[in-house]
Amino acid sequence: MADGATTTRPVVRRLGTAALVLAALAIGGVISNFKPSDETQQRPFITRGGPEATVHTRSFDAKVLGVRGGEVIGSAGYVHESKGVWVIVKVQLTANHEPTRVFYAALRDGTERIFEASGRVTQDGLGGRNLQPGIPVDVEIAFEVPTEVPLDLSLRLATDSLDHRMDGMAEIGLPITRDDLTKWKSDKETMRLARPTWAGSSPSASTSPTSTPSPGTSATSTPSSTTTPKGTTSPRVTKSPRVTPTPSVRSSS
Amino acid sequence: MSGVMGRIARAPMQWFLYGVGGLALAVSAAFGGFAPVEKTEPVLKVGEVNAGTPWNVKITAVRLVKDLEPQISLKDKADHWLAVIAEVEITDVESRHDIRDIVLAKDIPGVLHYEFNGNGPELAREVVVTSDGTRVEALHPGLTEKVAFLWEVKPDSVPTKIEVEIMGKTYRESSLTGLMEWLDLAPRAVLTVPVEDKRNG
Repeated sequence: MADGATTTRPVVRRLGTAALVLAALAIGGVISNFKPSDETQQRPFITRGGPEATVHTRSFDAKVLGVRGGEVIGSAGYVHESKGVWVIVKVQLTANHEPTRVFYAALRDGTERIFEASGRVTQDGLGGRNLQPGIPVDVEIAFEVPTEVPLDLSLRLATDSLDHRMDGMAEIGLPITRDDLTKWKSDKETMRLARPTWAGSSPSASTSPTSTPSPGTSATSTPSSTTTPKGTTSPRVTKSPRVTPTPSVRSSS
Repeated sequence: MSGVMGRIARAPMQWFLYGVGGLALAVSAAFGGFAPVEKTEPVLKVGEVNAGTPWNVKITAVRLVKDLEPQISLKDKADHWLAVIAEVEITDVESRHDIRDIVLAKDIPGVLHYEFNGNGPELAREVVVTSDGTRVEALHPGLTEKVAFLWEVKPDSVPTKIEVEIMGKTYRESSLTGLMEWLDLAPRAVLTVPVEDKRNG
Protein backbone atom coordinates (compact mmCIF):
# COMPACT_ATOMS: atom_id res chain seq x y z
CA MET A 1 0.00 0.00 0.00
CA ALA A 2 2.75 2.33 0.90
CA ASP A 3 4.59 1.37 -2.32
CA GLY A 4 1.46 2.06 -4.37
CA ALA A 5 1.08 5.51 -2.87
CA THR A 6 4.67 6.43 -3.57
CA THR A 7 4.35 5.37 -7.27
CA THR A 8 1.04 7.16 -7.92
CA ARG A 9 1.98 10.46 -6.30
CA PRO A 10 4.58 11.48 -8.93
CA VAL A 11 2.12 10.59 -11.70
CA VAL A 12 -0.60 12.68 -10.13
CA ARG A 13 1.89 15.48 -9.59
CA ARG A 14 2.95 15.39 -13.23
CA LEU A 15 -0.65 15.33 -14.43
CA GLY A 16 -1.41 18.26 -12.18
CA THR A 17 1.54 20.20 -13.57
CA ALA A 18 0.46 19.47 -17.13
CA ALA A 19 -3.08 20.58 -16.32
CA LEU A 20 -1.82 23.84 -14.83
CA VAL A 21 0.35 24.51 -17.88
CA LEU A 22 -2.60 23.86 -20.19
CA ALA A 23 -4.82 26.09 -18.06
CA ALA A 24 -2.23 28.88 -18.16
CA LEU A 25 -1.97 28.58 -21.95
CA ALA A 26 -5.75 28.62 -22.31
CA ILE A 27 -6.14 31.69 -20.12
CA GLY A 28 -3.33 33.42 -21.99
CA GLY A 29 -5.01 32.60 -25.29
CA VAL A 30 -8.32 34.02 -24.11
CA ILE A 31 -6.66 37.21 -22.87
CA SER A 32 -4.71 37.53 -26.11
CA ASN A 33 -7.85 37.11 -28.20
CA PHE A 34 -9.94 39.55 -26.24
CA LYS A 35 -7.43 42.32 -25.63
CA PRO A 36 -7.90 45.44 -27.78
CA SER A 37 -6.03 45.42 -31.08
CA ASP A 38 -3.00 47.63 -31.62
CA GLU A 39 -5.18 49.95 -33.74
CA THR A 40 -7.62 50.33 -30.88
CA GLN A 41 -4.93 50.90 -28.31
CA GLN A 42 -3.23 53.55 -30.41
CA ARG A 43 -6.28 55.27 -31.88
CA PRO A 44 -6.44 59.06 -31.62
CA PHE A 45 -8.28 60.78 -28.79
CA ILE A 46 -11.22 62.23 -30.71
CA THR A 47 -13.24 65.09 -29.30
CA ARG A 48 -16.58 65.38 -31.04
CA GLY A 49 -18.98 68.25 -31.33
CA GLY A 50 -21.79 69.65 -33.42
CA PRO A 51 -21.63 72.51 -35.92
CA GLU A 52 -22.08 75.15 -33.23
CA ALA A 53 -19.68 73.68 -30.72
CA THR A 54 -16.19 74.78 -29.92
CA VAL A 55 -14.31 71.50 -29.84
CA HIS A 56 -11.32 71.24 -27.55
CA THR A 57 -8.32 69.03 -28.23
CA ARG A 58 -5.07 68.71 -26.36
CA SER A 59 -3.32 71.41 -28.36
CA PHE A 60 -6.01 73.49 -30.11
CA ASP A 61 -9.67 74.45 -30.18
CA ALA A 62 -11.75 74.40 -33.35
CA LYS A 63 -15.11 75.81 -34.31
CA VAL A 64 -16.80 75.53 -37.69
CA LEU A 65 -17.94 78.92 -38.99
CA GLY A 66 -19.55 77.79 -42.22
CA VAL A 67 -19.50 75.64 -45.32
CA ARG A 68 -19.88 76.33 -49.02
CA GLY A 69 -19.26 74.41 -52.20
CA GLY A 70 -19.18 74.30 -55.96
CA GLU A 71 -17.73 72.47 -58.91
CA VAL A 72 -14.79 74.74 -59.65
CA ILE A 73 -12.00 76.24 -57.57
CA GLY A 74 -9.43 78.72 -58.77
CA SER A 75 -5.95 78.50 -57.27
CA ALA A 76 -2.52 79.80 -58.26
CA GLY A 77 -3.82 80.94 -61.63
CA TYR A 78 -5.43 77.64 -62.53
CA VAL A 79 -9.00 76.45 -62.56
CA HIS A 80 -9.64 73.08 -60.94
CA GLU A 81 -12.83 71.27 -61.82
CA SER A 82 -13.91 68.41 -59.57
CA LYS A 83 -15.23 65.08 -60.79
CA GLY A 84 -17.36 65.22 -57.65
CA VAL A 85 -17.94 68.43 -55.75
CA TRP A 86 -15.71 70.84 -53.86
CA VAL A 87 -16.60 71.42 -50.22
CA ILE A 88 -15.01 74.38 -48.47
CA VAL A 89 -15.16 74.50 -44.68
CA LYS A 90 -14.43 77.68 -42.80
CA VAL A 91 -13.12 76.96 -39.32
CA GLN A 92 -11.74 78.99 -36.47
CA LEU A 93 -8.61 77.56 -34.87
CA THR A 94 -7.06 78.61 -31.58
CA ALA A 95 -3.88 77.15 -30.08
CA ASN A 96 -4.19 76.27 -26.40
CA HIS A 97 -0.84 76.46 -24.67
CA GLU A 98 1.95 76.84 -27.20
CA PRO A 99 2.40 77.74 -30.86
CA THR A 100 0.73 75.03 -32.90
CA ARG A 101 0.20 74.14 -36.53
CA VAL A 102 -2.74 72.10 -37.79
CA PHE A 103 -1.49 69.97 -40.66
CA TYR A 104 -4.29 67.44 -40.96
CA ALA A 105 -7.82 68.08 -42.14
CA ALA A 106 -10.24 65.52 -43.52
CA LEU A 107 -13.92 64.90 -44.05
CA ARG A 108 -15.47 61.73 -42.65
CA ASP A 109 -18.57 60.53 -44.49
CA GLY A 110 -21.52 58.49 -43.27
CA THR A 111 -19.75 55.21 -44.01
CA GLU A 112 -16.56 56.18 -42.17
CA ARG A 113 -14.63 56.93 -45.34
CA ILE A 114 -11.98 59.62 -44.96
CA PHE A 115 -11.39 62.36 -47.55
CA GLU A 116 -8.25 64.35 -46.82
CA ALA A 117 -7.92 68.01 -47.73
CA SER A 118 -7.19 68.40 -51.41
CA GLY A 119 -3.62 68.75 -52.61
CA ARG A 120 -4.78 70.19 -55.94
CA VAL A 121 -5.17 73.69 -54.56
CA THR A 122 -2.99 75.86 -52.35
CA GLN A 123 -4.20 75.36 -48.78
CA ASP A 124 -2.83 78.30 -46.82
CA GLY A 125 -4.97 77.32 -43.86
CA LEU A 126 -3.19 74.03 -43.28
CA GLY A 127 0.24 73.82 -41.72
CA GLY A 128 1.60 77.08 -42.96
CA ARG A 129 0.01 79.24 -40.29
CA ASN A 130 1.61 79.02 -36.85
CA LEU A 131 -1.23 79.47 -34.37
CA GLN A 132 -0.30 81.49 -31.29
CA PRO A 133 -1.99 80.57 -27.99
CA GLY A 134 -5.27 82.34 -27.42
CA ILE A 135 -5.34 84.09 -30.79
CA PRO A 136 -8.11 82.67 -32.99
CA VAL A 137 -7.46 82.40 -36.72
CA ASP A 138 -10.12 81.80 -39.36
CA VAL A 139 -9.07 79.46 -42.15
CA GLU A 140 -10.76 77.86 -45.14
CA ILE A 141 -10.00 74.28 -46.17
CA ALA A 142 -11.06 72.63 -49.44
CA PHE A 143 -12.06 69.00 -49.93
CA GLU A 144 -13.26 66.94 -52.87
CA VAL A 145 -16.00 64.37 -52.33
CA PRO A 146 -18.28 62.40 -54.65
CA THR A 147 -21.61 64.13 -55.20
CA GLU A 148 -23.39 61.06 -53.85
CA VAL A 149 -21.18 60.82 -50.76
CA PRO A 150 -23.10 59.22 -47.86
CA LEU A 151 -24.07 61.79 -45.23
CA ASP A 152 -23.48 62.98 -42.53
CA LEU A 153 -20.17 64.68 -43.15
CA SER A 154 -17.84 65.63 -40.31
CA LEU A 155 -14.64 67.65 -40.27
CA ARG A 156 -11.58 66.10 -38.63
CA LEU A 157 -8.57 68.16 -37.58
CA ALA A 158 -5.23 67.19 -36.05
CA THR A 159 -1.77 68.65 -35.74
CA ASP A 160 0.20 65.89 -37.48
CA SER A 161 -0.53 65.18 -41.13
CA LEU A 162 0.30 61.46 -41.00
CA ASP A 163 0.73 60.03 -37.52
CA HIS A 164 -2.44 60.26 -35.44
CA ARG A 165 -1.59 57.55 -32.93
CA MET A 166 -2.77 58.62 -29.48
CA ASP A 167 -2.91 62.22 -30.68
CA GLY A 168 -5.69 64.67 -30.06
CA MET A 169 -8.18 65.07 -32.90
CA ALA A 170 -11.27 67.25 -33.33
CA GLU A 171 -14.35 65.96 -35.13
CA ILE A 172 -17.10 68.45 -35.91
CA GLY A 173 -20.40 67.62 -37.60
CA LEU A 174 -21.06 69.71 -40.70
CA PRO A 175 -24.46 71.13 -41.68
CA ILE A 176 -24.40 69.76 -45.23
CA THR A 177 -27.43 68.16 -46.88
CA ARG A 178 -27.96 66.21 -50.11
CA ASP A 179 -29.62 69.29 -51.59
CA ASP A 180 -26.51 71.34 -50.83
CA LEU A 181 -24.27 68.85 -52.63
CA THR A 182 -26.58 68.68 -55.65
CA LYS A 183 -26.78 72.45 -55.83
CA TRP A 184 -23.03 72.85 -55.48
CA LYS A 185 -22.38 70.31 -58.21
CA SER A 186 -24.29 72.40 -60.72
CA ASP A 187 -22.62 75.63 -59.64
CA LYS A 188 -19.91 76.44 -62.21
CA GLU A 189 -18.80 79.73 -60.69
CA THR A 190 -15.13 79.68 -59.73
CA MET A 191 -14.57 79.78 -55.97
CA ARG A 192 -11.40 80.91 -54.23
CA LEU A 193 -10.10 80.01 -50.82
CA ALA A 194 -9.81 82.88 -48.36
CA ARG A 195 -6.40 83.46 -46.83
CA PRO A 196 -6.12 82.76 -43.10
CA THR A 197 -7.05 85.80 -41.06
CA TRP A 198 -6.86 86.72 -37.41
CA ALA A 199 -10.45 86.36 -36.24
CA GLY A 200 -10.51 89.83 -34.75
CA SER A 201 -9.60 91.40 -38.06
CA SER A 202 -11.59 89.11 -40.31
CA PRO A 203 -14.03 91.03 -42.47
CA SER A 204 -16.12 87.89 -42.64
CA ALA A 205 -16.22 87.36 -38.91
CA SER A 206 -19.84 88.48 -38.84
CA THR A 207 -20.85 86.10 -41.59
CA SER A 208 -20.80 83.02 -39.45
CA PRO A 209 -23.51 80.62 -40.63
CA THR A 210 -24.33 79.63 -37.13
CA SER A 211 -25.71 81.70 -34.37
CA THR A 212 -23.74 82.31 -31.21
CA PRO A 213 -23.26 78.93 -29.57
CA SER A 214 -25.59 78.48 -26.69
CA PRO A 215 -24.19 77.53 -23.30
CA GLY A 216 -23.42 73.89 -23.07
CA THR A 217 -22.62 73.36 -26.70
CA SER A 218 -18.97 72.94 -25.95
CA ALA A 219 -17.97 69.41 -26.80
CA THR A 220 -16.72 66.93 -24.29
CA SER A 221 -13.60 64.94 -24.83
CA THR A 222 -14.36 61.29 -25.50
CA PRO A 223 -11.09 59.59 -26.22
CA SER A 224 -12.59 56.16 -26.46
CA SER A 225 -16.15 57.06 -27.24
CA THR A 226 -17.89 55.81 -30.33
CA THR A 227 -20.76 58.22 -30.06
CA THR A 228 -21.06 60.97 -32.57
CA PRO A 229 -23.03 63.83 -31.19
CA LYS A 230 -24.31 65.87 -34.05
CA GLY A 231 -25.84 69.26 -34.08
CA THR A 232 -29.56 68.78 -34.21
CA THR A 233 -31.04 72.21 -34.14
CA SER A 234 -28.27 74.32 -35.48
CA PRO A 235 -29.04 76.69 -38.29
CA ARG A 236 -28.07 75.08 -41.53
CA VAL A 237 -26.05 76.63 -44.31
CA THR A 238 -28.10 76.25 -47.43
CA LYS A 239 -26.19 78.49 -49.77
CA SER A 240 -23.15 80.59 -49.36
CA PRO A 241 -22.49 83.38 -51.76
CA ARG A 242 -19.53 83.02 -54.08
CA VAL A 243 -17.04 85.65 -53.26
CA THR A 244 -14.05 86.50 -55.30
CA PRO A 245 -11.45 87.22 -54.31
CA THR A 246 -12.40 87.32 -50.62
CA PRO A 247 -14.94 84.62 -49.95
CA SER A 248 -17.24 84.80 -47.04
CA VAL A 249 -19.75 82.43 -45.61
CA ARG A 250 -23.31 83.26 -44.73
CA SER A 251 -26.23 81.55 -43.24
CA SER A 252 -29.62 81.66 -44.79
CA SER A 253 -31.43 80.88 -41.61
CA MET B 1 24.56 -8.09 -45.74
CA SER B 2 23.96 -8.17 -42.07
CA GLY B 3 27.12 -6.11 -41.73
CA VAL B 4 25.68 -3.38 -43.99
CA MET B 5 22.37 -3.41 -42.16
CA GLY B 6 24.21 -3.22 -38.91
CA ARG B 7 26.21 -0.21 -40.05
CA ILE B 8 23.00 1.47 -41.24
CA ALA B 9 21.38 0.74 -37.93
CA ARG B 10 24.35 2.26 -36.13
CA ALA B 11 24.47 5.34 -38.38
CA PRO B 12 23.44 8.64 -36.79
CA MET B 13 19.80 9.64 -37.33
CA GLN B 14 21.07 12.82 -38.98
CA TRP B 15 22.34 10.85 -42.00
CA PHE B 16 18.96 9.22 -42.40
CA LEU B 17 17.28 12.62 -42.42
CA TYR B 18 19.73 13.86 -45.07
CA GLY B 19 18.74 10.93 -47.23
CA VAL B 20 15.03 11.59 -46.83
CA GLY B 21 15.52 15.26 -47.66
CA GLY B 22 17.52 14.46 -50.79
CA LEU B 23 14.90 12.00 -51.93
CA ALA B 24 12.15 14.58 -51.43
CA LEU B 25 14.08 17.13 -53.52
CA ALA B 26 14.65 14.56 -56.27
CA VAL B 27 10.96 13.71 -56.44
CA SER B 28 10.03 17.42 -56.44
CA ALA B 29 12.47 18.09 -59.29
CA ALA B 30 11.11 15.16 -61.28
CA PHE B 31 7.63 16.68 -61.15
CA GLY B 32 8.69 20.24 -62.06
CA GLY B 33 9.30 21.62 -58.61
CA PHE B 34 12.26 23.66 -59.82
CA ALA B 35 10.63 24.98 -62.98
CA PRO B 36 10.27 28.80 -63.02
CA VAL B 37 6.91 30.04 -61.82
CA GLU B 38 4.84 31.32 -64.70
CA LYS B 39 3.25 34.75 -64.49
CA THR B 40 -0.31 34.50 -63.41
CA GLU B 41 -1.43 38.11 -63.77
CA PRO B 42 -4.34 38.40 -66.20
CA VAL B 43 -3.60 40.10 -69.49
CA LEU B 44 -5.82 43.13 -70.05
CA LYS B 45 -6.78 45.19 -73.06
CA VAL B 46 -6.66 48.97 -73.23
CA GLY B 47 -9.87 50.37 -71.77
CA GLU B 48 -10.61 47.38 -69.53
CA VAL B 49 -11.08 48.05 -65.84
CA ASN B 50 -8.88 46.11 -63.45
CA ALA B 51 -10.86 46.09 -60.22
CA GLY B 52 -9.28 45.36 -56.87
CA THR B 53 -7.78 46.82 -53.73
CA PRO B 54 -6.92 49.47 -52.90
CA TRP B 55 -7.79 50.90 -56.32
CA ASN B 56 -9.58 50.20 -59.60
CA VAL B 57 -7.53 51.08 -62.66
CA LYS B 58 -8.38 51.51 -66.34
CA ILE B 59 -5.49 52.22 -68.70
CA THR B 60 -6.82 54.31 -71.57
CA ALA B 61 -3.71 55.27 -73.58
CA VAL B 62 0.06 55.68 -73.64
CA ARG B 63 1.46 58.79 -75.29
CA LEU B 64 4.68 60.63 -75.93
CA VAL B 65 4.24 64.30 -75.05
CA LYS B 66 6.48 67.34 -74.96
CA ASP B 67 7.13 69.36 -71.84
CA LEU B 68 4.23 70.11 -69.51
CA GLU B 69 5.48 73.46 -68.25
CA PRO B 70 4.82 75.22 -66.03
CA GLN B 71 3.29 72.53 -63.81
CA ILE B 72 5.89 69.84 -64.44
CA SER B 73 9.43 70.34 -65.73
CA LEU B 74 11.71 67.96 -67.60
CA LYS B 75 15.22 67.59 -66.25
CA ASP B 76 16.51 68.00 -69.77
CA LYS B 77 14.49 70.21 -72.10
CA ALA B 78 15.41 68.00 -75.04
CA ASP B 79 13.73 65.00 -73.45
CA HIS B 80 10.05 64.21 -73.59
CA TRP B 81 7.51 62.44 -71.43
CA LEU B 82 6.10 58.97 -71.83
CA ALA B 83 2.62 59.27 -70.33
CA VAL B 84 0.46 56.35 -69.26
CA ILE B 85 -3.09 57.71 -69.06
CA ALA B 86 -5.34 55.93 -66.58
CA GLU B 87 -8.62 56.35 -64.78
CA VAL B 88 -8.15 55.52 -61.11
CA GLU B 89 -10.76 55.03 -58.42
CA ILE B 90 -9.68 54.48 -54.82
CA THR B 91 -11.55 51.53 -53.29
CA ASP B 92 -9.89 51.93 -49.91
CA VAL B 93 -11.85 53.78 -47.22
CA GLU B 94 -9.47 56.72 -47.04
CA SER B 95 -7.47 59.01 -49.28
CA ARG B 96 -4.28 57.46 -50.56
CA HIS B 97 -0.91 59.06 -51.21
CA ASP B 98 0.96 56.08 -52.70
CA ILE B 99 -0.18 57.00 -56.18
CA ARG B 100 3.11 56.23 -57.89
CA ASP B 101 2.73 52.59 -56.87
CA ILE B 102 -0.42 52.12 -58.96
CA VAL B 103 1.18 51.62 -62.37
CA LEU B 104 4.64 50.50 -63.46
CA ALA B 105 6.00 50.59 -67.00
CA LYS B 106 8.49 47.93 -67.97
CA ASP B 107 11.60 48.20 -70.06
CA ILE B 108 11.12 51.77 -71.26
CA PRO B 109 13.95 52.51 -73.67
CA GLY B 110 15.93 55.63 -72.80
CA VAL B 111 14.13 56.22 -69.51
CA LEU B 112 15.72 58.71 -67.17
CA HIS B 113 16.18 56.78 -63.94
CA TYR B 114 14.44 58.67 -61.20
CA GLU B 115 15.62 56.43 -58.40
CA PHE B 116 17.55 53.23 -58.05
CA ASN B 117 15.30 50.23 -58.14
CA GLY B 118 17.61 47.60 -59.60
CA ASN B 119 16.57 46.22 -62.95
CA GLY B 120 12.89 46.17 -62.06
CA PRO B 121 10.13 48.27 -63.57
CA GLU B 122 10.51 51.99 -63.16
CA LEU B 123 8.20 54.00 -60.91
CA ALA B 124 6.65 57.03 -62.56
CA ARG B 125 8.56 60.23 -61.93
CA GLU B 126 5.40 62.33 -61.72
CA VAL B 127 1.65 61.80 -61.64
CA VAL B 128 -0.62 64.63 -62.77
CA VAL B 129 -4.34 65.19 -63.18
CA THR B 130 -5.00 65.32 -66.93
CA SER B 131 -7.69 68.00 -66.70
CA ASP B 132 -5.49 70.73 -65.18
CA GLY B 133 -1.96 69.31 -65.01
CA THR B 134 -1.72 69.59 -61.24
CA ARG B 135 0.54 67.16 -59.43
CA VAL B 136 -1.40 64.36 -57.74
CA GLU B 137 -0.63 64.24 -54.04
CA ALA B 138 -3.60 62.09 -53.09
CA LEU B 139 -6.64 60.44 -54.60
CA HIS B 140 -9.86 60.07 -52.70
CA PRO B 141 -12.34 57.20 -52.18
CA GLY B 142 -15.03 56.84 -54.81
CA LEU B 143 -13.78 59.73 -56.96
CA THR B 144 -12.65 58.44 -60.33
CA GLU B 145 -9.83 60.67 -61.54
CA LYS B 146 -8.09 60.64 -64.90
CA VAL B 147 -4.37 60.90 -64.29
CA ALA B 148 -1.15 60.63 -66.28
CA PHE B 149 1.82 58.65 -64.96
CA LEU B 150 4.93 60.29 -66.43
CA TRP B 151 8.39 58.95 -67.22
CA GLU B 152 11.05 61.22 -68.69
CA VAL B 153 12.75 59.61 -71.68
CA LYS B 154 15.64 60.59 -73.95
CA PRO B 155 14.96 62.36 -77.26
CA ASP B 156 15.83 59.33 -79.36
CA SER B 157 13.48 57.07 -77.41
CA VAL B 158 10.33 56.60 -79.46
CA PRO B 159 8.85 53.24 -78.48
CA THR B 160 5.88 51.95 -80.45
CA LYS B 161 4.46 49.87 -77.63
CA ILE B 162 5.06 49.48 -73.94
CA GLU B 163 4.24 46.88 -71.30
CA VAL B 164 2.37 48.26 -68.32
CA GLU B 165 1.76 46.54 -65.00
CA ILE B 166 -1.15 47.42 -62.75
CA MET B 167 -0.11 46.89 -59.17
CA GLY B 168 -2.13 45.95 -56.11
CA LYS B 169 -1.64 45.72 -52.37
CA THR B 170 -2.99 43.55 -49.56
CA TYR B 171 -4.45 44.85 -46.31
CA ARG B 172 -2.96 42.73 -43.56
CA GLU B 173 -1.31 42.91 -40.19
CA SER B 174 2.28 44.05 -40.41
CA SER B 175 4.70 41.63 -38.80
CA LEU B 176 6.89 44.63 -37.99
CA THR B 177 4.42 46.99 -36.33
CA GLY B 178 1.48 44.72 -35.51
CA LEU B 179 -0.82 47.25 -37.20
CA MET B 180 -3.05 46.65 -40.19
CA GLU B 181 -1.34 48.10 -43.24
CA TRP B 182 -1.44 47.95 -47.03
CA LEU B 183 1.53 45.78 -47.93
CA ASP B 184 2.83 43.33 -50.53
CA LEU B 185 2.94 45.56 -53.61
CA ALA B 186 2.62 43.09 -56.49
CA PRO B 187 1.51 43.06 -60.14
CA ARG B 188 -2.22 42.50 -60.50
CA ALA B 189 -2.59 42.69 -64.27
CA VAL B 190 -0.44 43.37 -67.29
CA LEU B 191 -1.15 44.86 -70.67
CA THR B 192 0.77 45.86 -73.75
CA VAL B 193 -0.25 49.29 -74.98
CA PRO B 194 0.56 50.96 -78.31
CA VAL B 195 2.32 54.30 -77.88
CA GLU B 196 0.83 57.36 -79.60
CA ASP B 197 3.33 60.04 -80.56
CA LYS B 198 1.73 63.36 -79.55
CA ARG B 199 4.89 65.41 -79.26
CA ASN B 200 3.71 67.71 -82.01
CA GLY B 201 0.25 68.16 -80.54
